[in-house]
Amino acid sequence: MSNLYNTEETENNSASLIDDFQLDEMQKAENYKIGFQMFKVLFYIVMFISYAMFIISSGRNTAMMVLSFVLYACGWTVYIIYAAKASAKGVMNPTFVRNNTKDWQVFAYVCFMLLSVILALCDIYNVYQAVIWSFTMIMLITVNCFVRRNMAVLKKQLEEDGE
Amino acid sequence: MEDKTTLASGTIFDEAGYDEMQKAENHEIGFRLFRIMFFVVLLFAMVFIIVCSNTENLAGTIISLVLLATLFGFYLLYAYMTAKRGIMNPKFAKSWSGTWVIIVYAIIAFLWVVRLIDDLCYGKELFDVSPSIMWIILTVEAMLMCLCAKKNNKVLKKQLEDDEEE
Repeated sequence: MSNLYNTEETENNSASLIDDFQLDEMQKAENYKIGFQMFKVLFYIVMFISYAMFIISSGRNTAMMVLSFVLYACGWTVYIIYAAKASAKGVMNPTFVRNNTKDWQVFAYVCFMLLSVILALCDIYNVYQAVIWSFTMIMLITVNCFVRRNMAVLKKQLEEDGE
Repeated sequence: MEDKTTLASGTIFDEAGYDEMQKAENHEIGFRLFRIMFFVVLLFAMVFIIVCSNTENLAGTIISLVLLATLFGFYLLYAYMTAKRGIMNPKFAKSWSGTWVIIVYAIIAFLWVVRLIDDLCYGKELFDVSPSIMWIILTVEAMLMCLCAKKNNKVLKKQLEDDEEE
């Protein structure tokens, strides 16, 4: 295959599949597009499975419960990183931004979080579910902050264009 | 910003209304996160299988095996899509396209299948045979990966031939 590949000529020695090593700009763009589509679907599947595993194991299997919670947290972290990077460049989906910039949303998330904690303390609600619910609310508040940041970046870009 | 677009989807990952530059940036972010997510989830899936099978948790074992299979499904899908366009990482394609790779993995898969059948004949539970299932998934995935690498080479060869003809 030496006529196809010249891998010795470059400094990058990466041999993993998910890599853009030695690709030209056109190939990179295609590669990124495939990766992005995969990421989108994989994210939802991971979130669903980690949540399902948490519900199944809560109160029965501590090791699995902790692991599934960590996986759930990892899923959310990736989501937050995506939101942070997209908002830093001002390339967040405009509809998503429009739907998530209302002040009442943060207030509602905080209320839901407090409600779940109070219900769990009163033994009305499962304590494990209160934990995962509160965590989800905190993540949603964080996403809301990045949506606002996206708006600020767009505003700045508009001002600069105006100047 | 407000009402200039008529967008249906309101998820964060949607790219309706983006220009090409924004799409490219978005894709690059997604690609890098997919890479990280794949390895993180792979690690978790394997740990889950070990933990669930050791604690004799049947539901957990099934779900974690499904998670592992799903993850490799994505990996293969990515490999196939890149191979179809001939844009697989050249070094990866080079090392995986050898015929001996597929033979080695076929032998390993056969050994694990034999062990799985043997365990099942002795009436072992699913959580007892989950390591065998995990290894079968891994080896089958590796064989399919080898085929994708070969496909990538074929596409590249064809592209080279087309270029020479032109």
